[in-house]
Amino acid sequence: MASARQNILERIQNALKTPTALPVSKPDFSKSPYTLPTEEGLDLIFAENFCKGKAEFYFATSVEEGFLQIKKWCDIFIENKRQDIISQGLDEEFYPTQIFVWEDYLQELCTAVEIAFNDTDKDLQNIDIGITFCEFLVARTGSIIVTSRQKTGRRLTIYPPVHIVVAFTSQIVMEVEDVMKILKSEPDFPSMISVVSGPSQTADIEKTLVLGAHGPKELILFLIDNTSAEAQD
Amino acid sequence: MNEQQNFQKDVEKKAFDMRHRQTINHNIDKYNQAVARGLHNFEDHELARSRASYIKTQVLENLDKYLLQFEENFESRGGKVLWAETKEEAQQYIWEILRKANTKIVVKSKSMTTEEIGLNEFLEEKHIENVETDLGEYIVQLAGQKPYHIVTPAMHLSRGDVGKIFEEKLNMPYTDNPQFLAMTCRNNLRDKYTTAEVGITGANFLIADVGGIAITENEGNARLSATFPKIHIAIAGIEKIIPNLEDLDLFWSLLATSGTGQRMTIYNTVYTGAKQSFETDGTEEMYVILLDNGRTKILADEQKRQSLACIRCGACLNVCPVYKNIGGHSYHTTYSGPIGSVISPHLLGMKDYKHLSYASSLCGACGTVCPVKIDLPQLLLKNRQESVEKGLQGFAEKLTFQLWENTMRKRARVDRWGARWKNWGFRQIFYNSWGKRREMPTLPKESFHDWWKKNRK
Repeated sequence: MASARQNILERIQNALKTPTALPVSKPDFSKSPYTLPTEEGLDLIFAENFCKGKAEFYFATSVEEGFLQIKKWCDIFIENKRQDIISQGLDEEFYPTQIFVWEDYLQELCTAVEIAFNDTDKDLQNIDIGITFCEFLVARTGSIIVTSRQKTGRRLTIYPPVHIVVAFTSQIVMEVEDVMKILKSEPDFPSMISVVSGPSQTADIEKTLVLGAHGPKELILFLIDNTSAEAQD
Repeated sequence: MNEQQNFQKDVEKKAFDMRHRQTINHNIDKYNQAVARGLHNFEDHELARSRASYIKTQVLENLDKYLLQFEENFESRGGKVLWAETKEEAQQYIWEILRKANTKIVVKSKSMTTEEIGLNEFLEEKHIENVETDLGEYIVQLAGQKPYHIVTPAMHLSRGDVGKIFEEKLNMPYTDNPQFLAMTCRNNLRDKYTTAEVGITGANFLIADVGGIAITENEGNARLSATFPKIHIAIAGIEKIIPNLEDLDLFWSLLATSGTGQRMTIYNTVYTGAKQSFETDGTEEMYVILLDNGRTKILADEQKRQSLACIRCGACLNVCPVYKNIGGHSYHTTYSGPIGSVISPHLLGMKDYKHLSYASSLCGACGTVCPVKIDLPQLLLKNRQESVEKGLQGFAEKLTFQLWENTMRKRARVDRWGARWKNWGFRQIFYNSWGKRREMPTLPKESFHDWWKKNRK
């Protein structure tokens, strides 16, 4: 089968001796084909578009404020799960909420607000919540970009039923194209780049939307302002 | 029975199956509403289509160079590219990899190319547990069917149908609640991802400049299939190339809008290989199988070459009045609808599949919605032309046209028989093809020729 490569390439080269009968002239590549944003500033454009999707959005003007919000969110989740376990007649001891955090700086910040987390991949099958950073946010599409060069690897951004993302306004770019340009210019190009535009969903049964097909059922973004004049240190 | 007779038999049944029509109309109505909303994301959709069409045309004119560039870049990061001329070769490559890794379970994400090479049947023969992970594919796999639509595999099944399939195949209480059905699938597959040795996916795009593949999905099943297993195999047609990573911006936006009416599909993911040295997890090996299987034949035709620009969004199926009436299964091909009718005769044989190019009213709707501007109606006509040039019409058709030509060339021959015999002759000739549901026009006793002679002043 080593010659399969050669055979295919030869057939292609022979085929291309005759140029296409339906050539296409070069269109205008200078202007954007997309609808112009109604908001001003990358942060507001992003927020507007992100909130059109099914994900949850929280905004904080400082890291401290952001992590207190996350702590509160997790506490409510933990309490809800506890009630749920008790109402099923099960022992809550055996079903603790499992939060996984793998990135070093994120671990520090979570520790500071006393969020208890697992820093290994032991018991990953029992994960409830994964908290991660991301690489970029894209304003026009309201998307979160995660890659496998983050310490989260490929797993922590797709496997947990609940995915909490912590991001900064300085990470926002306008287009997916901008993300790709930056990533290409950097040395440690990741083996996986994922543009995430909401919680996992399916509409395969009668086009009825169901959240949480295989990936996270809930996607929660905590966006921390570190760029505007109101941002606190 | 040959393919054409099979087709006619199935079509006859499907087109008047009211339940089928109701289910399809319901789905396509919802699709239409979503697309109408999705188009608002474009200020100038036409410009976006022109760009995509231009990029794809340029790629196809230089396909060998882009494929080599893809191969070099992908392999420089540790991946392996395998070239397959036929579906059997592709199956063999996959089997070699599975055998070496002692594979028992494969998780598979939705991919029409794996349908094309008959991977499910092949793995079944080899006694490999092969799990379809996309919900729609999971449903049709449970039902023992083929995907009905290239984007929405279970489009033909109502929630009640799915409930019955789950009740019967999974031994669970009946429910027609989509939420509950989807969660059943989720729960059943969670362990599969983590125990499977190999994940097999398709690829929506091959990216030449970084040597990567891109997969578009809403569910996250492809991401999981390319995360936990040790080996990731992606299989893609050689025409899936785009030049640059940045081009994905345009193609992802167009694919989302035309495919499902979304602004962006939930997960658009690029893979450029297995886990790199600086990364924490991921696959250990990654293979990309580049499949020809007749594509170079299409490439060699300077008209039909254009059909290789297809990004498999399914828009032409959803808008096609023929598809909506006869449904996806009647085609008996991997790729259905207008694009399927255009390419299938070249992938599977003009002789057996030429009839698909005639199963079109040439209304032109498919051409107007295509995000890469493939002139589908024109290419359907080209297929008809080719099949006639190759003399592939049946004996009866050839004879009929010869007689027709002979008769029509001379007035005297037209007038040789009276209206009664002419009408009888027509009924004989069109006995099969006219159809039961429309009335055949009859010739009046007096021909126009005679009437004109009498009434001309």
